[in-house]
Amino acid sequence: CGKSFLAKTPESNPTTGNYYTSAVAAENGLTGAYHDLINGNFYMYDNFMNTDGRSDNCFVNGDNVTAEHPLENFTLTAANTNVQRDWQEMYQDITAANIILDNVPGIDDPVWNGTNRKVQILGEARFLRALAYYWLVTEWGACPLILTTTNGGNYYPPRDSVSTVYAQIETDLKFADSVLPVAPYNGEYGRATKGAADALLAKTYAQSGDYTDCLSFCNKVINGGAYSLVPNFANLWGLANKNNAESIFEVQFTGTGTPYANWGVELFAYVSSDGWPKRDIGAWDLVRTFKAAGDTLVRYKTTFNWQIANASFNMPSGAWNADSVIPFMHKYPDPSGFNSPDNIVVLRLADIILLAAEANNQLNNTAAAIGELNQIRSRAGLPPTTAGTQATLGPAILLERRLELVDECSRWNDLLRADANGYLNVVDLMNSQTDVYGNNLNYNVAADKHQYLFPVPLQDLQLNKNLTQNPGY
Amino acid sequence: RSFSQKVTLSFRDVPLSRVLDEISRQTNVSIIYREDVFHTRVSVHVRNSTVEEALEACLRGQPLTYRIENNSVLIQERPSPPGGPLEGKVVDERGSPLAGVTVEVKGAQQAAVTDDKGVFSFTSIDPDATLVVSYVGYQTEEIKLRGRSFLDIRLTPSTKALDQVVVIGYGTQHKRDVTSAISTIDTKDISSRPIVSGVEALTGKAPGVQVTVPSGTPGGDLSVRIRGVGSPNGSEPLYVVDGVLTNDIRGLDPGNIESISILKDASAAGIYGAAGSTNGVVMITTKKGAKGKAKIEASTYTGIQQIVKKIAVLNNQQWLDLETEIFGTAPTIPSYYNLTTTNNNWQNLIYHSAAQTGANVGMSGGSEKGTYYLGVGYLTQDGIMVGSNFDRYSAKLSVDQNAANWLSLGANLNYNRSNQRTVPQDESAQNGGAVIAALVTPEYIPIKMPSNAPYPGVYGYSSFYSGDNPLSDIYNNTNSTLENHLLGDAYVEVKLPWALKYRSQFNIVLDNSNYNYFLDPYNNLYGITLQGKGQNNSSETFRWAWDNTLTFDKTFGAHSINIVAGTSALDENIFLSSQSGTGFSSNAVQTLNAASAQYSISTQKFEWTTHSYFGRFMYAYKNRYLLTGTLRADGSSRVGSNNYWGTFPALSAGWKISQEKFMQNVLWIEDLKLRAGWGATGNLPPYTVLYPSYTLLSAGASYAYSGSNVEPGVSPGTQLGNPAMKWESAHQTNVGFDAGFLSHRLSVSADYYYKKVYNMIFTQQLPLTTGGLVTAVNLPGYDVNKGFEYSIDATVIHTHDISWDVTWNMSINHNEMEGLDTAISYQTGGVTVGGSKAPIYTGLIKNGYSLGTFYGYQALGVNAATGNMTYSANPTSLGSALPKYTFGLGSEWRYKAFTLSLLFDGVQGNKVYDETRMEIENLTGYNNESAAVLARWKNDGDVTAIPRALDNGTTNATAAALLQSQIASNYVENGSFVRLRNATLGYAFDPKVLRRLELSGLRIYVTAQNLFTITKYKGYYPEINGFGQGTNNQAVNAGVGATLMALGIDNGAYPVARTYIVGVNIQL
Repeated sequence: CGKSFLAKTPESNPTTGNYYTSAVAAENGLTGAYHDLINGNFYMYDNFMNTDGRSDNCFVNGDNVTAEHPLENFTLTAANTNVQRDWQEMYQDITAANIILDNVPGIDDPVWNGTNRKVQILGEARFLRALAYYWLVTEWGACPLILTTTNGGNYYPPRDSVSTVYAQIETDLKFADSVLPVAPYNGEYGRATKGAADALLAKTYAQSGDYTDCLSFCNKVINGGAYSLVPNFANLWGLANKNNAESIFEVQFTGTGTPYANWGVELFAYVSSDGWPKRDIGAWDLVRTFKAAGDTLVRYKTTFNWQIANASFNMPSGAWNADSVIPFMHKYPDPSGFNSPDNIVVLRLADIILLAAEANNQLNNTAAAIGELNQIRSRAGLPPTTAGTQATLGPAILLERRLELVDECSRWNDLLRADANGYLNVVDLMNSQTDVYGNNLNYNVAADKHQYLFPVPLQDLQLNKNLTQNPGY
Repeated sequence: RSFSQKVTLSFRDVPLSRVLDEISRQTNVSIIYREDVFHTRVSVHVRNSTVEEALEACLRGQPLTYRIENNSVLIQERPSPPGGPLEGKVVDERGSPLAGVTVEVKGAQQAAVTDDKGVFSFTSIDPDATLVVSYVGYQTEEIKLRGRSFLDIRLTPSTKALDQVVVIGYGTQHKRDVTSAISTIDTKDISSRPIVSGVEALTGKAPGVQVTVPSGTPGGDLSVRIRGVGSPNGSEPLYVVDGVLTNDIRGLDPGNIESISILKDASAAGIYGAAGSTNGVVMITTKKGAKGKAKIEASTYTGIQQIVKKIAVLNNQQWLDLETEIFGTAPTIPSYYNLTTTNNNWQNLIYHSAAQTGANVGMSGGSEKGTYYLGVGYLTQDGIMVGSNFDRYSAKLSVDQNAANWLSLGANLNYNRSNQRTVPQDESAQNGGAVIAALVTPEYIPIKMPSNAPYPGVYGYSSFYSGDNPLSDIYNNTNSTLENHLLGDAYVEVKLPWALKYRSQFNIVLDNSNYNYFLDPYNNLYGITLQGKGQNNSSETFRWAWDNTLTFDKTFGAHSINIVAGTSALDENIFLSSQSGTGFSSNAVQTLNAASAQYSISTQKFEWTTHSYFGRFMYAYKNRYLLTGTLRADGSSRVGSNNYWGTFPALSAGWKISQEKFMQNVLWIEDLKLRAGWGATGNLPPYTVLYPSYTLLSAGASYAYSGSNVEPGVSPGTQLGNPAMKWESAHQTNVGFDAGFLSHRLSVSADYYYKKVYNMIFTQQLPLTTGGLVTAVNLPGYDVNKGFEYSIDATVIHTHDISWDVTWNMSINHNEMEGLDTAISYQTGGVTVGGSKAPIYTGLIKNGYSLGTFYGYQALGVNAATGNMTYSANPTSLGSALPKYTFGLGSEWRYKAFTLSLLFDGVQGNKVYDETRMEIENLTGYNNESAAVLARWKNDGDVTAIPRALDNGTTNATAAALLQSQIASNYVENGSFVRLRNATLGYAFDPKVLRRLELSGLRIYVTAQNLFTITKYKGYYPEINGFGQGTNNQAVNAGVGATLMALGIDNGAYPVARTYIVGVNIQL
């Protein structure tokens, strides 16, 4: 017996070396990459706290005092386990995409003859990779860009600059845009489409400050004809309204056990019978803002579920009088005891229309901006905006995004753009937050703005000496 | 007168008559004899002898003489010397009859040989004669008759004799020629001790060999360490049973063990190369038949086991006082508890005296053509904790056949079937551990909840915290494991020309296990919530190995050469299956067909192989200068595909100084041999890495497109392939000597070793930017063990009626990790404390530290003003679980038929992490606590080692958190102990009695195991290792599932018992 006697291959696991030989394998690998979106904490749970919870929209209020409260209180350290697992999950998503991008090009299956499915698979994988990098670069800034499964054998990469990461996201999404269909492949919602690539591209350009390109891709989405605003804002949410006309990309759940159940909803939505301290309780400032904006109709009612708390609270002291009714999040309304069928909305048309308004305003196309802003206000049952100049429209659009997109993981990045565009200072904004009694919540965001970014996880700093920490941590 | 004719004779084992006829034919001398006298067979070789010389030669040792009359020779019976008849019996040290023993009368041509019952007789013997009794493998005895007509002779094995044969890899060797570090284990007491696992027989018997009983679970695994910890991945040795390589000897009934030898250094173990021999090799030979009359040996014993000690806990009032101090006010006790009338002593309720009974019967026999051995055994061991037990049925068959002068073949089969029921241990009470639950459950908690409580009738629980009472832990669920083990081999051996011998042996190891768990749907809250839970895990491991060897063995004048060359192929297939479900409508049917919800199923298959070429060259010159060289090349599927093969050489030399001329006048030294060797052996970590070369994907990663179209998917797994992963390898240098003094009444053996493990295989966590992959790597750095070990065997007294033998061994070992990346450390030994599921790591693997190092805060004492424990600012090493010294002392006294043997063993200089005390001295919460907390700080100025009652979270959260959940030196205890491991008093019945009973041997004995242990350890038993098999050691920086060495952790392990036994051995 010779080498063959020793060359044993795993029988209970496929391997990168033997698996990718057919079109079916390529599809399964891609499905596995989508599976990674639901096989973790990020989309179902953490991202809500990282964005809305951290911002002025919500109180994180988790019962994991060590890991979750620092998000609220701006006391994150590199050892924070939430930050660590989110960083890791994003890179897991990237690895899943990279495996497809490394292996599928080499597959030659007659099933694909006469179709462009093979290149579509690559496009969907590139979208998923870009989505992960979008969150990495906006939450952590510079980060290692890993574009192949083994990164050329270098498992200890340094961080790549923010602009390099943005450039890669753009490259990936432009590729996806060029190959993906307008309607999802096989009619299967949840798959990346041309519109999803364009919408994410628009958001990426916006975040990198390139409003010209942002606008052109917003317009591509808006004018492409694939999406339309749902007439009633209330009909965007819940089991009956999954993958609606306005939806561009949603993470899909069936609600029937692992891995298809969206257990995250149970951690946010009010349930009369359970004792969980719910995450992302609406902040006093958010409720006040809704009321001040006169937005107390459909959006207000859809966004909040006012109930008397039935569980212990870890909110900032006095944030709400916990004996009276408080605003639980209600956009994901079917908790079903950790078996929610609610999808997670990642991209929808209203976000892109408001982003187009923001871009138009920044590019001095005030009239266009007003039109787009009013489109959204009108759907919410609000009168046309009174803002008419670039300087007043900027805050108006930011406000509209806040009211429209509560608990859609948008607020924190919106604030950072507004900060960059000179409409506000996030340090001042957060440090001025008060509770229901008007007492300052003492967030202590440092003037050096270092808390705008997450720390690079301590474990990775220890494992990889080539990584550097963000300043201030 | 005499004859002038010359005679030449050469006969071997022929009738005497034939020899006499030949003498007659050559000389024409007529020889007259009586036909019936000459059944005796003789061997005679004479050349050109006189007739008289030839006659003397062939009558030597016979009760005959000759007379010459008239050119004729008359053969007649030798006239009897004055005196009467003599009868005697020869037995071995255990009282078993010895057949074939030569009994000669000193100075006379009289001799006899014992029969199958050990009996010999002389029809007439000088009453003042001296008998010389000799037998191979035993010390020769001289006995003065002093007029006795019956003699009972007991021979002592010549353990110090240098003709003792030791089993080495692929062969045997005389002990006198061994150049490496090999210990042989005296196995004679296996049949007179309640030994459940064969490795128990190693305890205290050999220097550098430490056997630990990690827990008292009936049928539980034992841990063996040879010369320290050979690798952070694992320290268990390789077992070779009749040539079959196996990782454990669960398949072997200890009653079938014939001999054990331990190959300790690289030169000895090197022939097994990379099969795991970094940690040493335990060679076991099982019993075989011998030619002669059929023999039957039966032994049985029965006895009881008891808990060695109990830990004092608080009574209800003391508990209430503590709670009042903790919370400032007395807790409000629900009315369904009664602190006055309910006083359950949980330790008394769960520990009981438990029976243990074993029986073995062996039948053997054979002829020139072949031999057989058949053994059957039975063992039933009740645990000292109620609800736990172990049963085993075993059978062994061994057949050897000499088909022709040049061909022999045979087979061995060892089978056993065991059934083990365990109780939950090594866990906090909140996580279901019964041992800790018995300590922390307050005495007022009822056994079953009364009718006015919520959930009446379920096992008693505390309304204050989530722990159940220990009886609930034990009886709420069943944990039973049924195992079948088959271990066997078949061989053919062919004698070839030119002193060559070819042997082909095919080996199998088949292990099959079936674990069943059932959580009762009625008995506790968890069970009620789930409506019961059932789980079944089954596994089958099948290993075959095929060894082919060619042996050349020849002596050319002063040169002796023995060469072995061979190949070996091994293939192991593992099949795992598990299924579980909940939702049982009742507890009447406990199989999974009655489950209605939460089904989970999984099956998995694994396979690995090794392929090896090996050779050994043993050379002796003038029986004085010895040289052994070994080379083994191993290939394995478990190494990276770029480095399948590893080559491991070893060389050792010996010099028998006592054979030199200049030593011939040093009469008090019988034997002195210097040994030195160096060699490399390979190692693979146990099963943590089976396919290191492959980047694994994970099947079952499906996704529901459109929230409904479920499609199968494959996502990244956790392992990144590393085809470059090499063999882990240990380089070992060994220097030692063996010496025998004073007619071998005293022998000494000593060794110094230095063992350095290179390329340690670790499953290393890669940066999270890989998505959190782990990969198998060879760690830069070394695990170094160096030590000195020696043994002394002495026969202090040796007379016919009285003897006293003493054996002593001791070893000193120092372990240290060297050359590791100083910035990286690996946490090990995670324990769960209280209700937490997240482990707290007790140990640290770090450069410059010993393996088994505990790492945490130094407790600096209780501040007399505040009552808080003061801790060091930073964590530090708190000592290691590895002992500095281990030792064993055996002593055996014999007076006539009585034998008393004692075996002491001990360890010194090791630490134990007593996690149990974190549960029972935490001074917070509603659990019961150790009586030690009665000495807690109460008032300003109190000087005590126990801090004050701590209200967790408000008054002093930091102090409370440290006390409850930080690894600190106040829970690190001295684990040193000396114990009387075994004491046995035996009596061998007199042969006269035996003859009446038609037995050839009968011995009764009483024995006690763990009669006493001298230790400062505060827990149940210092010899402990909650993580003997390295579970729960997921470590920061090491990969998920990496199991690193964790030692000496008491996380509520099943206490080791004390055992009293009576037994009997019978031989037919």
